[in-house]
Amino acid sequence: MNGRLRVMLDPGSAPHGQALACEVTGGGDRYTAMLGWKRTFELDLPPGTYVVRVILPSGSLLAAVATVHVGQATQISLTPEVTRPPAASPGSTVERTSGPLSQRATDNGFVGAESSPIRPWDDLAVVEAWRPDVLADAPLRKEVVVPPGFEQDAYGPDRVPLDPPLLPRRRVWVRLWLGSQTASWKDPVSVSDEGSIAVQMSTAVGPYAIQVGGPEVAWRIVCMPPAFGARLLVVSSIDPMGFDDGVHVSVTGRSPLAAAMLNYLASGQIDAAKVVGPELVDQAERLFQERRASPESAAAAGYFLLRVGKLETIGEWPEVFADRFGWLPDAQVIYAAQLLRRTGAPNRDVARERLLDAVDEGVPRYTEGLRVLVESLQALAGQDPSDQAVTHALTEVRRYAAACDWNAIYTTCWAVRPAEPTLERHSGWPLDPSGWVELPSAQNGGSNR
Amino acid sequence: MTLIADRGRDGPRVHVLAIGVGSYRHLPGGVLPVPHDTLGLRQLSGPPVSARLFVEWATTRLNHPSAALGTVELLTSPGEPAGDAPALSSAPPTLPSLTSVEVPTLANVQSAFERWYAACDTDEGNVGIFYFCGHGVEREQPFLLLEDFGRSSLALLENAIDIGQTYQGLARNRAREQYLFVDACREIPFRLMEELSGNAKVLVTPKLQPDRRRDTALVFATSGGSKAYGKAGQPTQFTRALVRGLDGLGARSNGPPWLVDVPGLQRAITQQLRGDDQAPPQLPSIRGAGVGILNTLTSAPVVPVTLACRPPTAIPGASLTVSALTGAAGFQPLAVPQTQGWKFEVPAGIYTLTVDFPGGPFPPKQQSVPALPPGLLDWPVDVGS
Repeated sequence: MNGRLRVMLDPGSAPHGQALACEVTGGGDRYTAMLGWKRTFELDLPPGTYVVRVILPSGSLLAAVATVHVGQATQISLTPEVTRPPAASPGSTVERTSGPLSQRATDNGFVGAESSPIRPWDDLAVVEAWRPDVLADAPLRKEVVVPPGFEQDAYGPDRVPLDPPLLPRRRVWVRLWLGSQTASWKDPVSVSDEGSIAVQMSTAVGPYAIQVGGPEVAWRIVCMPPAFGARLLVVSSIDPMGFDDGVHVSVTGRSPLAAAMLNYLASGQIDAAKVVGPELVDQAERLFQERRASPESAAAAGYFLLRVGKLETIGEWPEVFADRFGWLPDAQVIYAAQLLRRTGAPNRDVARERLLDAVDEGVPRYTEGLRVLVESLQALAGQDPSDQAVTHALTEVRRYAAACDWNAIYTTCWAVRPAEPTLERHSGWPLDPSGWVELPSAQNGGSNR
Repeated sequence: MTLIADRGRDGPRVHVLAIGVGSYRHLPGGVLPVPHDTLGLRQLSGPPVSARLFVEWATTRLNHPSAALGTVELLTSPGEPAGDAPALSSAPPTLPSLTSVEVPTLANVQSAFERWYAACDTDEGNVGIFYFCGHGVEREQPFLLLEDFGRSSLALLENAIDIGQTYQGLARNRAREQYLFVDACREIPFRLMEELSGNAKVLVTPKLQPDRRRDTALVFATSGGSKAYGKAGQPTQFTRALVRGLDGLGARSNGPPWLVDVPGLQRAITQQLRGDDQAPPQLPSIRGAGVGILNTLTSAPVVPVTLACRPPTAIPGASLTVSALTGAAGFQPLAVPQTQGWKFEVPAGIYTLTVDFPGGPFPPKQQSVPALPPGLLDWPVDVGS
């Protein structure tokens, strides 16, 4: 006779908005389960002592010991580590300002930057983030402290050099792109007292990207998930290891399963990905059958199946995905990958066309897609070096690959604009007034003009 | 050719190729320094020691569940251990009768890779393990810099390996399990990016064909755009964590048998690198879909445990005893001396912690803890309530 084990994870402090893989081990057996949005599950188990471990996307584990008794229910509650955006320290303040900022505005990028007069910013809403605790005596970007005795390369820790002089405050702007055009924010922009900007987008699914920059912040493009209701969070960061340059940008979609999958794939935790995978694939297929296709779920499921070598098992579904979401490069990449990996006779010609279509539509939304696109085009170019279209496409994609953050879930590049990734530092205020989007009123006290 | 082990090529075998590049002939301080800019890179002393540590693990402790050890080949620069190298802080490599090894120039690495590739290609059950430690940079792919890197300013990458494409190309090999470990930086500043002229060598060109590999992993010591670190003359942070992971910290939690698989190894490396407050930050990353088992252990791995006492001021008046609850057969209750700060190592298992306060002011406390791979760090022990 068994007993029941009920596992609970505090929903208030769990990693937000994603499912989590969980394993229960004991007596030489291993059970897996998924903690969904309810953050709880139950298992009937033989009596004994068990270890419950939740696998976090970061690679950390939450663990607890539980003893199951015959005919009884045992409940354990796991308290995860406090999760928060990197280095969003208390004490930060954010102020939305309006009115002229011309005296302190600089411009060292964009069209005609060198000879253009500094524009007045009457028509702009600008976010200024003060980090007195961090910035008063320190550079904007935290230096990597290398203790004596460690070997390091000569060129120092800054992938993107800092712009001196270092200022005791960081001014950040954010704008929205739809394809190659800027777009209006239709949703409230929330500015918190703790140094963050948050937007939940209600815009239709499309090729959206956001761009972040500032006088002290290198311009960066971050692709938005192909999801209705995607969320954007911009916070100050002193993470010394990342691509952040002082500002951490987090975008999330609406599917907890997709978010979990993408994070597990990114951190190489394939065992955890396989716990989440079946339900994600089922969900994506079901939505397609019901004609309610979710490109977010489909893309995550596609990349999962591609990674574990099971893309063949889902039949015509990637083709339908690519046809229905022709604007989404990832759909084309996934379908092409399936064609190239088909057992027997890979369909090179159709795959080639789909990859070229993907490049025409811009950069894949997902970093995983960018990697697959680069590698697939490299393979095609290697097989036929005289294929000018492939060579050209590879050259185009390499520009993104060289400037991208390979650790990001969603494609993130240093860029002047979505179609212009750059290996030079661009910072400052954009000159093009039509490219600017005014941030709407903050929800919690911020003012706008 | 420097074969450290040659135990056969028949049937399923594990074949290992390890490369450690410390001295670079064309960098400042090398035997043939060049006048042009070589990205500001310097000579290193850790990589050859790291490669030897990895090879020592492979020759003495690798125990793959389905493939016996086949061949182990090593290339390092310098080819001979430096006589005045600092003492190692971890177990020193004890490679048998090893005096000098082949130097990892592009030509030598290409030949060694072809031998390794051919050995792996003889059987689907073979396991290929590739290890590299040295300088690296990243553009659209990560590139590994070999001993003769930097010869020509016109083609700076001519003596480097494109490990990303090489990993793709390895899909052509019959070996169904392939694990590649890359202990190198993946960073280059923008201002030097344009100087990365030329193309790095792809050791096996990818083909448009199905990837039938069952378990693969390309494990990087650091994430894209970041550095990997090591102390001069000692195994690097990553390689030490890798070998400890392979030795048991990467084992699955439901042993025995204790099986080190790829996800467990990844978590073990991540935890060790994160937990080292004395070293610069470094976060490993991984490509591939590996869930395969790299190593099996005949006994429970020893795992580190650190306890975070709440309140911490209670520690001086406390007496901590650790006793086995399940697993760890034969484990005798361990009294943890306060001088170690509640930090100890035990064979993997579930333990009962008993905390007594002979002089008060807190009541005795008992708690079960899962001391399983990759270990417990900062496990909270609340004694104040």
